[in-house]
Amino acid sequence: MVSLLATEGLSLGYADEDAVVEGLDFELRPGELVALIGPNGAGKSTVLRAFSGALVPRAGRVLVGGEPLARLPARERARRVAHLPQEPRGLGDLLVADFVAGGRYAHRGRFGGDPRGAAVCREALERVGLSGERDRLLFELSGGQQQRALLARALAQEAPALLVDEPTSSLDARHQIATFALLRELADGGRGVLAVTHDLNLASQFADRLLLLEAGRLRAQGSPEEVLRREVLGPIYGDDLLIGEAPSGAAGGRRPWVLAWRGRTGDAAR
Amino acid sequence: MAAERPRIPLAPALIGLGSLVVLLVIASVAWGRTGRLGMTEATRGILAALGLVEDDGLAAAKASLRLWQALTTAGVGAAMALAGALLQGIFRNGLAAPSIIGVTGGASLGAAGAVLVLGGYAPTFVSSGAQGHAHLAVAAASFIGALGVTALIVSLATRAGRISVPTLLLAGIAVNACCGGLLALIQAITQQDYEIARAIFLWTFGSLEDKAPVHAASIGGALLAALLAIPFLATELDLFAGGEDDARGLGVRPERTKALAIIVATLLAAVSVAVAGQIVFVGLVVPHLARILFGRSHRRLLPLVLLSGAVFLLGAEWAQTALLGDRSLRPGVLMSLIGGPFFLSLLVSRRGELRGW
Repeated sequence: MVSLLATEGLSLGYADEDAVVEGLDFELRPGELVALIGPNGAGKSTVLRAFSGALVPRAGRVLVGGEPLARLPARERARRVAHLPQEPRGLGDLLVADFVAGGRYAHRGRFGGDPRGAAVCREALERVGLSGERDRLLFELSGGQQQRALLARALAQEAPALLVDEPTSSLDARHQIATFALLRELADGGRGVLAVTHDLNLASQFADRLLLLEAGRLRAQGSPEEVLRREVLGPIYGDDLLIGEAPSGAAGGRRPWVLAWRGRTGDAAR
Repeated sequence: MAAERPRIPLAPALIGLGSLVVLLVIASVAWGRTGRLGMTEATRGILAALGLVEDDGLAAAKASLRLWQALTTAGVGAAMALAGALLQGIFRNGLAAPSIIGVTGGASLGAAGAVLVLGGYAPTFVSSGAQGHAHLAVAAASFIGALGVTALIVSLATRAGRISVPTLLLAGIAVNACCGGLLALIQAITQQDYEIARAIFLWTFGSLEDKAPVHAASIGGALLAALLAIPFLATELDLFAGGEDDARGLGVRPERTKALAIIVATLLAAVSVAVAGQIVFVGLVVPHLARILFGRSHRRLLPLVLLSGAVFLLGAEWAQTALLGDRSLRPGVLMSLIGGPFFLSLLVSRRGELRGW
C-alpha cells in the first residue's frame, strides 16, 4: 500500500540556525492514527510545517502519496494533505459557513466551478455537529466548537491525510475525548491522521502508533505499550512520572497511562 | 477586528455606487471653478466630449475640460482605495496603506526626480496637458520610485521569508522620512526655477486640475489591469486572514499572492501619483468605510472599494468646489484634513490590538 505521507532522512531548520529536525524517517498509512509526542521544542510542529511546504527540507525529502512534495502543485498538495491549526487565529469574524468553504479552495476552479462544494461543506458541518451554527461568526462559538469548525474545514478539503497540531490544548476533558474519538473515527474510515499532542494519555488511548521526538530526533516509535514506558520516557521527560495500566474494560483495552507527579518515580502498582 | 457581517447585498451596492459615480461626474462637470453649467448643458457637453453628439459651443469646451478632470479624479480615488484594500488584505493589517508603507512617497520622489532631470518638459505636462514622452517618462519614473521604495521597505521587514508587520510600519515611517528629506532637497535645489518648483509643488499636494484624456486613460488602464488581477487575488486574500501557513495549507501560494497584490497596489498608486500627485489617506479611509458597509470578503470588497474610492474623492472634490469655488483646497491637503483625524481615531480605537504586537 502506498503511504499517504512519508519522510526520508528529513532534516529541517530555520534560517542559519541549527537544524530543528534531523534524519527523520517516518510513514503514515491509510487507516492509521499516529501521535507525534515529545517535549517542548522537540520539533513536532516543524515536522507538520514541512508537510504543507512551508519549510524546504535541508536534506532528505517529503513524499505525499509516493510523490515528492516539492514537485506537487500547491492545490494538488492541498487535495492530499489537510492541516488543522491550533486555533482559528485572525479568522474569527468569518461566518462558520464561509470559513468551512475555505477548505474547498483547492477543489475550485479559478472562476468558481465546484459543483460538489456546497454538499461537501454541509456534510462536514454535520459530521462535527455544527450544522446549526453555520450562520454564526466563528468567534461567537465556544473553544470546543471552534475546534470542530477547524476540523470541518479540514474535512471539506477531502484530503486523505490529516495533520493536526495540538487539537486538545484548550479543551476540557469531555471535549478532549470527543475530539480524539472523532480523529479515531476518521482514521477508521480510511484517512491517515498525524496528531501532535502533549497529552500522552489521549495518545495512549486513541493512537495506533506513537512517535517520540526529542531535540529533532526520533527517540522511539511503536505501540503505546512500547513507547509509554519508564525506560523510554524517563530520560526525556524526567523522573516525575508515574506510569500505570488502564483497567481492563476501558475502551481500547489495557493501555498505559502516564501521570506527571512531583517526586513520584516508577511504575504504579498494577 | 470587529464583527462585520455583510450589510448591503452585492448587486444593489454595485448598481448604487456605479450610478453615484455617473451622477457625481455630471455634477462635477456642472459645478466647476470657472462657473456653473446647467445640468442639461453639462450632460450635452459630456456627450459631445465623448463624440456622441455634435456640439462646439463654449459650454461644450468647458464641459470637455471638466470631464477629463472628473474622470481622472474618479480613477485616482478608485485606484488609491483599491491599492489600500489590497495592502491591508495582504498585510492583514488595517493600518497598511500606500502612503504609510511608502508607495506614494517613493512615487513622488521618482516623479520629482524625473521632473528635475527633464527640466522643461515635465512642468509643461503638469500645467498644460500631456506632452507625450514627458508624460510617460514621469509616470515611469514615479512607478519605478514606488516599486523601489516598496521593495526596500518590504525587504527591510522580511526575515526568513516572513514579513513582520510592526517592522514594516516602522521601516515605512523611516523610509518615508528619507523620501520626504530627498524631496525637500530636490525642492531646495530647484526653487530658483519657477516651472520645476511649481511642478514638484503640485505633485506634493496633488492636483486634479488641467487633465487631458491621456490622464484619464492612464489611470483607467491601471484600473483595468487591476480588475483583471482581482480574480487571482480576492479568494486568496480572504484565506490570508488566518496567516500565510494556514493559507498555504489550503492550497494558496502565498508568495505569488503577496507579489501580485503588492505589484498591483504599487501600479495603482504609482499611476495615481503620476497623474495627480500625492493624495494621501484615500487608500486608508475608504477601505475601512467599505468594510463596515459591505463586509470583509474580498470578493465583494475589492470591486466595491474601487467604486467607493471614486465616489469618495469625486464627492469630496465636488463638495469643496460647490462650497468654496475658487478658494478650494488642493486635494492632498483636503484628504489630509479628513484622513489625519480618521487615522488617529483608528489608532485610538485599536489600541488593544496594537498592544499585542
